[in-house]
Order: sequence, then structure tokens, then C-alpha cells
Amino acid sequence: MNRKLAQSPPRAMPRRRRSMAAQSSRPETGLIAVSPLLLTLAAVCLSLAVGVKPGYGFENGLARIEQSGVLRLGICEEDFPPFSFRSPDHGGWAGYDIDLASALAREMGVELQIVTDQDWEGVIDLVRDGRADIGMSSLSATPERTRKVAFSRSYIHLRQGVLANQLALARLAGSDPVEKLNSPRALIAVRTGSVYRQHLPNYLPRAEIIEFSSWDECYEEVRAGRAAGVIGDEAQLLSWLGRNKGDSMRLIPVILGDKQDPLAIAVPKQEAGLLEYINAFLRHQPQAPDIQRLYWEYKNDSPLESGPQSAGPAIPPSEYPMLALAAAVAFLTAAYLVWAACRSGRKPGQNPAGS
Amino acid sequence: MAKKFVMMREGTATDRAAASTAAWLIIMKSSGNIILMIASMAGGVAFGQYFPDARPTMSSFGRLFMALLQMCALPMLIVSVLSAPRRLLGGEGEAGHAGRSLLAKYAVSLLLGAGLSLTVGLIIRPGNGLDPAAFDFIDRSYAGIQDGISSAADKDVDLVFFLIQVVPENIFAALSGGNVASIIFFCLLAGTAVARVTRGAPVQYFFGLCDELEKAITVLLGWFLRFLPIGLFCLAGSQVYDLNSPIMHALRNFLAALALCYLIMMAVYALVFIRSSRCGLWAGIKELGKPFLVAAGTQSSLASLPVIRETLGRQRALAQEKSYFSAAIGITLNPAGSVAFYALASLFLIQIYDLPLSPKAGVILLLGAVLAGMAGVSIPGLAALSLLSIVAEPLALPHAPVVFLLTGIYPILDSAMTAVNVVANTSISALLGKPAPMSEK
Repeated sequence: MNRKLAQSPPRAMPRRRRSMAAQSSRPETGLIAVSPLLLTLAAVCLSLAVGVKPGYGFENGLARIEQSGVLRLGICEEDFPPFSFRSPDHGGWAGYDIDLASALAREMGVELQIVTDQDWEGVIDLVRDGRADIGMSSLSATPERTRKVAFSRSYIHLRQGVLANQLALARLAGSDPVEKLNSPRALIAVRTGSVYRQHLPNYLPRAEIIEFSSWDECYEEVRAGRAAGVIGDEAQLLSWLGRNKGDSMRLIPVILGDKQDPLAIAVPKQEAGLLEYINAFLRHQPQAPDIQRLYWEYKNDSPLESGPQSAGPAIPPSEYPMLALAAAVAFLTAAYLVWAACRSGRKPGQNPAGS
Repeated sequence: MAKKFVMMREGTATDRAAASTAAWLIIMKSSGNIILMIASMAGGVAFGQYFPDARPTMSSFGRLFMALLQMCALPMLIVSVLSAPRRLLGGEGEAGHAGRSLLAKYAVSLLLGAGLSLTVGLIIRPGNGLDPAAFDFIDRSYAGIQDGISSAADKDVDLVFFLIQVVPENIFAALSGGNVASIIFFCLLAGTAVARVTRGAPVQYFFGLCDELEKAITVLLGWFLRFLPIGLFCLAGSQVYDLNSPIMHALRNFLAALALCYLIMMAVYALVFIRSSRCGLWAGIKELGKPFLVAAGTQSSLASLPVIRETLGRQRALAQEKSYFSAAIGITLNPAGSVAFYALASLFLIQIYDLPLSPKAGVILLLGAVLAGMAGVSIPGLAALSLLSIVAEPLALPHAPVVFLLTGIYPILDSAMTAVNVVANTSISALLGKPAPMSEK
């Protein structure tokens, strides 16, 4: 790895020097003809003096990473399975993003170092300020974020959705779940400052929005049925659903039609060469699998074995009237049918219909 | 020496052919034997289990046998229902009484299913303390839930939906599509209208034609029913259930409650059949066993109709015309097994969400289950499960997860439901075919 680092710059540099030497050895034909050449030489000398090679960002960004021997990956502290999360097995970081970044680091011949920040905007700031070489952690490539960083080509597209409370959903008017959520009576929870806060009025314009400072609070509101749903991408919805096994009966992911979220790798804006390198790397990666498969692949927990199933609690007193009614209906109907069958008819063999 | 050897070989081949022909004839002659039918089904299951490669072939032959039965069942149903109003309900002064008696017994039969499953469900409480494996199954298949919600949402299932399903827009389309409820509805109306027409020679000719056609179909059916053991062998072998699937374990309390409910129902119906047809206990069980096994094997009430008819035809204590008519319309009007299933599934849904079952909710559940059971006859396959929305929507309950869970065990549910429906239909048809008591004369 370090060997490759040591070899890379000398390989590039002599070529440039040879080119410049060839240019400088040309015979001078006059002041007008010479002046562009002099200007170019002056510019090259100046740029060499300040350590910047104009037009050679690829070499610069990559060389810096290779020289340091470390690719710094910026991710969120929070778990976002299956992209980046702390593995319950070894306590370290795991996930699809981590694996992808590791493959990139291997390709560069460097080691991967993980730098974390509180949230996605923090990850963007890490990359912008040069504290991380690249940023991932299921980062959405939004137009707003491109003011601060550049994004690679998307490596996976996630659909947008709402994790809805089923009981709340059933009480809302409408035939389609999305139509139900897009009603003035539907309260949709969202985290303050997240991308979804900006997009929610476009996705569900008629729904009422309620903001919380964390995703956990949003989730709890929906779980308790105080909010109809919480907005997120497919991976988030799966991650929330996976928290508590009993919740899958109460909560349901509702996908918002064709709304898609492209996930990409953030790089510093000036690193055009690094961006090109990463794009080339991504083009050679196998296509990302279906998100649901990815989730269960990384979650890597075996299906729950069915345990001893309790027969359920005793009958609550409030259901005694219903039990009495149902038992009476069952008994009376059975008794009537048997009585009707036992009533004496004509003797056997006397068939009035004469079939 | 060589000549003797050839003769021996020929003799052996002839003996073998004679033996197989004799065995074939024995099987054909005893095709109605209940033991042989059970053995055929058990043999089919074992064969399908040990030779999975043979399943597609068995499935093809099974479908062929079902097609033969259904081919006879549909004209039989049309002829029975078309001519019944004239013979049974069209008689002066008897129409109203017979019609009321028919509908009352169907209503009682359906309420028995709903009431019994509610009682069992309220005592066993299958929805409380659901197994974690069920949640895991849902978690791993969330895309399926989404599809389930969408498909259920596509249909606005209520009373109007049911009526639209029953009233045929185009009777020829209903005939070609095998929409039993629509065909029965049309034939009942058409039969009543024909019965009201002046009783001239053409009308007599029409009913005479119906009678002859019915006899011809019965003869045809007799031929096909000789292949019943082979048909059941192939059908049973092609439908091998995974009894060890996680979802089976997860829903075992629900299945236990449904099984208990069905057992009690079958005991009541067997008693009704035995008393109505005046046969002994063992003979009654044997008679009911045949339509039961055919229904469980074919999962089709329509395909079982010929066998129900054959069973009723053997009961000399019954007025066959009445019982045939009841068996035909009972496919739609008396699906007691389906009603019991929908009632229990709705209660299961309420218990999963820990909601109290108020008397008002209970009445909605009872009536909704009856409607869903009757509507389910005209909706084939898995789509029938979405009819849970008839009960769930008035109670503002999400039904998609339960529909999704039940989808995993639907083949078994369908077999059991159809079998109980057919037993209920046979017994109530026997009850309706029973001559009126002397006191009423």
C-alpha cells in the first residue's frame, strides 16, 4: 500500500518535466511568438511554487490521500442500517457504505479511517472543511448540498415513504394509503432541519406537519398513534420497523409513488479529479441489490424461531356480553338445526317429489 | 425349449394383463368407497412427497379430473336452479312458505358458523400474545404488505360490491367465467319467470328438456366419478403443504381455534344429515365423507356439487328435487365454513390490536362475516382474503397485515373452508329435502 504511494508521484512528474523541456528547447522565432510560451512557463513555475497544479485535480486529490495513506470517510454517528451502523458483533462500523468505502480505499491502496459527525449536515461540513476526504452514510445528493460539496454518480436509489400507524391510517378517509396520508387530518412527523422537512410539503401538500428534534421522537409519536406517520427513505423505514418486533403489526411502510432519493458520495468541491476517480470506481461496481435484500443481508439476524405461544390472557369482563351473545347464537342455531332434522317426516321411501 | 419359454412369457404377460384389468375393475367398482378415497389421498400425499418431480404431472391429471367434474357441475347447477322454481316454489300457496323455510335454514346455518367461531375465538383468544415469528415474517416481507394494502384498497368492498358481484352484467360472460353467484341469481329469476308463464305445451316441453338434460348429465357424471380415487390421488399429490413453515407455527393458536370451530360445526352438520336422511351413524359419516374429501382435494364447491348430488341421491328418505335445488343454490347461499373463517379472522384482527369488542362491534362482525363469506364464493383464490375489509373497514381496523399473514397458510385454509362449506351444504340440503312433518300437513 505504502509502496504504491511512494511510486505514484514520480511516475507522473517526469512526464510533465519532459514536456516542459521539449517546449523550452524550441527555437525562438520572435517576441510575439515567444510571449505565450513565456507566459505559460511563468504560470507553471508559479503554480509549482505554490503547490497547485492547475487542471491536474485528479493527481492532486488522489495524491494527497495516497501520500497520507489514509482515506478519511465522514459518516453520521447515528446508525443507518444497512448503510452505516455499529455492528452488534464486533462493535465496529459495518454496512453497505462502509464496505463500498473500504473497496474504494483498497483500490487506492490506502487504509480507511472513519470520521463521524452528529448528522448529515455535519458530514457535509466535514467534507467541505477538508476534515474528511469523502462523505457517505446514506447521503442524499440534493441540490442544496451541492452548494457545499460535489457528489459522485448515485450508487443506489432509495424510494421515499412514510412509516404509518395502521390504526391511524384506517381512520383516515380515502381508498389509497397515500391519499389517506395526504389529507388535512393526517399529522406527519419529521425531524427539524432534515431534507425531508423541505420536501414534505411537495410530497404530501395537504398533510399537517409536526416537527421534532430527533427521529426517535418522531418514531415514538407515530408508534403511540399521535401522528399518522413519519417520513423517511426505504432504509429508514425498514430500520425503524426492525427496532421492535411487535411494531410490524401497528406500523406499515407506505411508499410515496415515484419519489426517489439518489444516494451518492460527497467529495470536496475543488476535487474534480477525485470525483472522476470515484465515478470511474462506481461504474465498475456491481449494481446495488434491492434495498430490502440489502437490509436483511447486513442485518444478518436469523429469523425468529417461534417460541411458546401463550394462550392469551383471560377474557376481559367487557367482553362477557359479546361472549354470551355469540354462545347463545351458536347454541340456539345448532339446537334448531338438530331439532328440525329430528322432527318426524314421512316414512322412509315415501318420496312425495317422486324423483 | 425356446417355444416353451416364449409361451411362458406370453402366459405371464396375459396373466399380468388379466390381473391388472381385474384390479382396475375392482377400483372402478369401489370408486365410491370412502376407505379407498382416503387411501388414495394419503397415497397421493406420500407419492408427491417422495417423488417431487412427479408433482407437475399429478397436478395436470388432477386439474383434468377437476375440469371433468366442473364441466358437469355447471350445466347441472343451471338445470337444477332453472327448473326448481316451477317444481318447488311455483306451486300455488307453497312458494312463499318454501322460500321462507329455505332462507331461514340458510340464515341459521350461517349464524351457526359465525356464532360458533366468535365463541371459540373469545375463549381461546388467538390474537393475544401473537408469536414473534409472525412479526418477523411480516418484517421480512414488507413489500408484500404494501402490495396487500394496495390490492385491498383497489376494491371498495361493501354491500354494493357484493351485489355488483352477484348481479351479472352479461350472463354469457358470467357463464364463461364460471361466476357461480351470478349464474344462480340469473337462473333463479329466469326460472321464476318461466314458471309464471302460461302453462302451455312449450313450457312443459322446456321443463321436460331440463329433466332429460339432467338425467343425461347424471349418467355422464357416473362415468367420471369412477375415476374419483385416481383424481383424488393426483390432486392430493400435487398439493403438498409445508406444515413446518414458520408462519404455520406463528399462527397455530388461530389454526387451533379454527379447527375446533370446524370440528364442532361438522359434528352438528353430521347429526343434522344423519337425522334428516334417517341413516345410521357410520353410514352417515361415510356418506358425508365423500363430498368432504372431494371438496378438500379440489378446493372447489362447484366441482364438489356432482358428488353432493350423488350423495343426496342415495338417501331414499329425501325428496331429491328439493335437496338438489338446495345443494345448487347452497354453494352461494350457505358457505358456513367461509363465514366461520371470516368471523374468526375479524376477531383475530381485533385482538391483535387490543381493541375491545363492544356489542355493536360484535353485531357488525357477525353480519360482516356472513356477507364476506357469501361474497367470497364469487371471488376466486387469494383475493377472497381481501374481503376481510367488509368487517375491518366499518370498525376502522387495518386488515393488511392479517391478510398478509393468512396468505401464507391460504392453501390449507381454502381446503378446510371448502370442505366445511360442502358438508354444511350437503346437510342443509338433506334437511330441506326431508319431507314435511305430518303435523304441518
